[in-house]
Amino acid sequence: MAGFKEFNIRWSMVVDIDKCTGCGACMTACNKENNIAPQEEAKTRLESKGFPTRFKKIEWLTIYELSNGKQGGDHDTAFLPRPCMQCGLPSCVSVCPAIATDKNEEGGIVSQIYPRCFGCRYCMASCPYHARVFNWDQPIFPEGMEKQLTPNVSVRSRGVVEKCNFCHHRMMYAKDAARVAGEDPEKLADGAYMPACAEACPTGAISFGDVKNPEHAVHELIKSPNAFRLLERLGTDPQVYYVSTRDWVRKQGDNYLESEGGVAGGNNGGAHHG
Amino acid sequence: MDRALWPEGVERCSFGKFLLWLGFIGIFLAAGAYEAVMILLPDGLARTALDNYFGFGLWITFDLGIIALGAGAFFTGLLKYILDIKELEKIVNLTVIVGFICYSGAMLVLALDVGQPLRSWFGFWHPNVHSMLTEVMFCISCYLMVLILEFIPNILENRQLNKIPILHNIAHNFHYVMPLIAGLGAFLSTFHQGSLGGMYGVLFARPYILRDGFFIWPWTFFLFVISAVASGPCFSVLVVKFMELITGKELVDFKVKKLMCRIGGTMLALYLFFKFLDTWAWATDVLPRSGLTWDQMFNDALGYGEWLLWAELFLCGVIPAILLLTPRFRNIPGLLYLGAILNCTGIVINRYVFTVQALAIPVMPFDEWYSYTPNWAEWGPSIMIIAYGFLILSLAYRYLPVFPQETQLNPISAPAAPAPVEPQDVEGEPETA
Amino acid sequence: MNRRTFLTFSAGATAGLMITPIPWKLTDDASIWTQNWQWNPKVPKRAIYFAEMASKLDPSGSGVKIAVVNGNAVGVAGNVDHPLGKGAVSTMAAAEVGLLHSPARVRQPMLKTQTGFKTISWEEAETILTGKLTEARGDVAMVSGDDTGSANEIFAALVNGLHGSYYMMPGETQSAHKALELMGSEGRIAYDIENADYVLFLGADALESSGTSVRNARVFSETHPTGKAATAKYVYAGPVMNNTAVVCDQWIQAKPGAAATVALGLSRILMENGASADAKGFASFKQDVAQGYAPAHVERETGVRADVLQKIARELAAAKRPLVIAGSEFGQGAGARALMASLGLNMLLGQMGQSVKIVPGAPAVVKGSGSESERYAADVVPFLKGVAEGRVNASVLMVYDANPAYGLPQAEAMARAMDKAAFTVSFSSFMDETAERANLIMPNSMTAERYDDLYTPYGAGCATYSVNKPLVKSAFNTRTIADVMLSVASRLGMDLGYASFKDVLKAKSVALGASWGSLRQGKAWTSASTSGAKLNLAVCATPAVGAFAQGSLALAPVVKHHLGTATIAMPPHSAGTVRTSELDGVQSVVQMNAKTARMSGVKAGETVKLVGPGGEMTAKVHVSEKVMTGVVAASLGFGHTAWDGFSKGVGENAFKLLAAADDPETGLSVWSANRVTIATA
Repeated sequence: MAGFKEFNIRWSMVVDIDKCTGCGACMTACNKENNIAPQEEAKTRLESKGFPTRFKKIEWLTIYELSNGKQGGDHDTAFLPRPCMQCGLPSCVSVCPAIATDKNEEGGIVSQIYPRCFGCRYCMASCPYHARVFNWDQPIFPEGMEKQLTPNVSVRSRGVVEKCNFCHHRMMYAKDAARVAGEDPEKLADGAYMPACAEACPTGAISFGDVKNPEHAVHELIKSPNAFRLLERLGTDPQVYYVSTRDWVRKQGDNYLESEGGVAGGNNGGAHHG
Repeated sequence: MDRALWPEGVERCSFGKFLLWLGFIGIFLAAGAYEAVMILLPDGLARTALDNYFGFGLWITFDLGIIALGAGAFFTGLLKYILDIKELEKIVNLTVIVGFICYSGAMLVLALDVGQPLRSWFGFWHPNVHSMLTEVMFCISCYLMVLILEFIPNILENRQLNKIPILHNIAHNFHYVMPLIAGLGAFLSTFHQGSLGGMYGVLFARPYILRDGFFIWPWTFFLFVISAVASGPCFSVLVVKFMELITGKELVDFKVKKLMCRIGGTMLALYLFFKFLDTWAWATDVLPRSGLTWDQMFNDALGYGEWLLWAELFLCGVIPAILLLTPRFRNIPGLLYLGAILNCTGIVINRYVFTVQALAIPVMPFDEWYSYTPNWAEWGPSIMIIAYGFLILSLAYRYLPVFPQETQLNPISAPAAPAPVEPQDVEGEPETA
Repeated sequence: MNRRTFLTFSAGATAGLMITPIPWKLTDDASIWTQNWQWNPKVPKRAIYFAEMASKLDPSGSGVKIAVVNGNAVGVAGNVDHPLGKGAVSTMAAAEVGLLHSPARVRQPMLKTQTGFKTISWEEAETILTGKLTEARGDVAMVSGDDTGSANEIFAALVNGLHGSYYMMPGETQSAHKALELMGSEGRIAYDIENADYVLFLGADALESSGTSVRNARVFSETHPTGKAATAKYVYAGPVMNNTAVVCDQWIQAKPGAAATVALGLSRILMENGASADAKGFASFKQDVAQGYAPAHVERETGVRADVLQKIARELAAAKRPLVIAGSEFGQGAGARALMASLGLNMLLGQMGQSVKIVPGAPAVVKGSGSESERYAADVVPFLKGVAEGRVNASVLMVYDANPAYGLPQAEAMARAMDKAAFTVSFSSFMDETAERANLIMPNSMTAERYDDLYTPYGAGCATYSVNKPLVKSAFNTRTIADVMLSVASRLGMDLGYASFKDVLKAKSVALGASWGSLRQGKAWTSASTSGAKLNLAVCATPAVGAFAQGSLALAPVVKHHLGTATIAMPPHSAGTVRTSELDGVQSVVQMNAKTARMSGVKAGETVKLVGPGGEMTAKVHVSEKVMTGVVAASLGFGHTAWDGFSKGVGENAFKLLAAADDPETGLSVWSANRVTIATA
């Protein structure tokens, strides 16, 4: 197993679940920013050939719908957007046979190198968050839409794995902007670097920054007793934190035995989309 | 028509019949090859039923299964060449061929399974020393080369090829170095069989397959090696028996079969001892510390029920161990083969649950169970590999001296006997099967 | 050969193979080929320039920045300086770029012939339209869905000059105009949500699809800072836990269309406790409310329990800056009553001129265009119903920035109206359901490709004005319809006083007292001025039209912008966001809670048929406690029969179920309280 990786900067996302409406603006922004081909076109293509289409969609940010499982007036719902956790101890990095994914850059973003990946999908088997998706088919851009590719992210070919990278290109732009302004690129101001999803969210549910920098809002946000991370017990050390004032939401961040205050029978399953 | 190519002193069916047989195999080869080509060229893996939840599916199960079952090659080789158990020389050629088929078949399926086959060599050029899969890639590739080296002398012993002096000498020299090659093969095999298990055991984010271990090796590393050597010899015996049924000849005498199965049974018992311990440790430590319970690991409605585990451990574990270890049962051919079949089935179940069930189980509390059923795009190439195995074995059986005992067990009556001879009683009861 | 020779030979062969270039060249080439297959699109390698734009596709009027590379619009970023955008990028704002190359875009003018559409030139199209308009004098009707643009003035001036009739699509803007008119005023309603410490949404899906939803969501974000105590309480009353309710501090279950009744019930409690409003008609309002809106009555009618109503009234009264925003749960069909009732409630809370302001309407700059109120006066639904049934003549029917054949109640009848009208003209940028039925399509350029403006969407905080200029060259042979219609007007012999739409916008900015230079740079103009109009409360309490149709279940249509709007189908990049609780494969999914399912005799996953007063649809049942008992929720946005592969043939159009009932008192038909029957299909 790879050792625990520690950097001076730790880019982290803090998602306030109590503010997520499930509107999908983050997913839409992510899809456009990262040159992801329109997925409905992809699905139609597979259907027309008679291939199974379940879970073949490319999406880096998935919104899960959580429920407290109660009925009537006590029922409550929450939405949970899930990008790549950029784990401090990634289960994917240690297993990639070609080092196509690594955690070796200041800031801690787990990279995914498309020209290196040969599509063995071992990393997908190891990730419990389902953050990684595979290009089962060629990306299909309807005629004219390829004119709208951003310069930010290369278009991936069939047969490679891809995942959220916290809009790494935006970090590069922010660092360049800092250099041009004569500032320290290793000490970006709060908000100078924001992934597309965090920027788009109308209700401001997604905060982003360096948790090791006291000038960044997320530095304090993660100290809240209402902050939690998904599946912390497994030891992945995610860099995505969630905040909720609701007890039942926090309890669904990890697996708990009944004796630990968990629900009898364990997880109650949530509604998955797509 | 091709009688000149047959080994000394054996009879084979007519060439026409053989071509028909090859044609029959060819149907399955072609059907699978069509799917493979469609995947490699126009359609990609989108053609399959694999998806983002089930990145591993039938092919990985199939690969792990046939690699485990092909372990008869290295283990028999180890026992024959290093530990010098002479009896095994009667079957070692066959185990090498089975091993060759299993490993080359697995490599072919893997080339299909990865998204970018042209980049497969990146695993060698940019190896990740922390990854079990890197280890697997290196060792399987090297071991396949070893198997080829072990197979070559058998090929060169084809009656016609053997007449060529240089080839005869090469074959002869190979036999000299065979213990070295066998030892190398055993070393490589132990590691990659283990690493295949290690691949699962290190996934600390998948509590179903996560295991603690010794230093960098999770317990699954050792369990996979032992289960492979438990099932490998038995599989080789089953292959021989199947060939005997098809050809109507006795190829290996029952004593050797019993010996192989006894070896398998012994290793199976050893495996089960550790497997029970491991399962208990997993259930009482790994699961609870991940916040999960035993019941959460199974889903009967989707086909991932507890019954699979009990089938693996008891029906296909304890029972075949008893059958294969108890001389009384082992002497009954039917029970011997039943034991071997159950043994191999149990190992395949193990590979299946580690690959597919592991991915079906949700880890995030708000995630769900999903089931996976392979489609024809996946079955086709798998059946193609099985047909490929039939092809290799058919060619090897027809043209190569695979079975040293064949002539002795299947005497060919000489044409036009000079005078009628009184039938004589044979002393003792020959052991036939 | 002996062993030594053999080994030497083997070693030599291996070494020899390694030093030939063959394996190295092949592997190197293989890795380069696999990165550069020519069928994978390459990304551009140029600088990204950002330019401000106010979104016309997003009903909330959010201002964003369009990222342009090599003259192509490639992305949408937030604009923190825009008062209605505040840095966010909603799904519909993102669609401004996402739809530019949509396969559904109409690429040039098209004329319908016996054998289908044939492409024609703009010259021909203008000639044909001019000809038809000349023939049809008086029998000309135009329907516009653009609630914020000055283009309406040009169109209205032209239509008025031909003595035709002008219709605005129903929605919150029309309801607001009607409400103000009935209350003796005019202008636009503005909500100061920024400074409110208690916000009650009655039906209005204000954080997702109602009013300035993006701005509202940003204010929600600011008043509910992560990790700190909230500085305002947001309460949503409605039948479904929609995207607004799911984050509000409290969700009160209230039947569909109950907004007016709840508002009046709250007013009654406040007045009982001494609240009053310094306004005309207060006495009559107080009497009407006292008579008709006792808590028990409200509970029966709306499902809101009396004790809950009392508690909300107490919280409203105790708040320093309460704000009540009422409307239809799905942005149309509530008529004027919900709004009037909420204005009455806001007045009782002393919030007129505080949380709620009336701001002046946009000054008219085109001669003959009439006033905004005049343009919003007529009700398009009965008009189109009349056309569909052959009772009303429409020689020329023009449709701008709207899709009446899809997004109106009795959608199938509305679609028929397009066929029945003698000559239908669609100005849509897309081959939508209306365009498909049109005789002539003259495609409008998209927002980033044309000049346009945006004045104070319903619910903005104050008078707000943005001007858009073309940021990219038109992707196809499309034009700015406002300019085209100026040309058509002059062909008809009318002098509207402007050579181009850009001049109209300049004149508008002058009339507003805004800086044209600043507007052109993408800065938004705002003004704190309000109209000092006094509202007459007398009309606010007249009883609402009852629920339409029989049926065991109340229908709650739900709008989520990731599925598109009534005008725009689901944008390509949002298609992946559809949830299995909304759509199963290509089958629509309706939601109801467990109790409702039991009552209706249906089970989760079963296919059912819903029959409403306007039509029927089949769907699968999804059991969810996010829906009130006795209510079935259906997502709007599916069931397109036109557009493109992303939305065509997927699910069913729930607008079909709805039917409008007349409300002679307000002059606006209503359809926000429809009922449906349910049976297994």
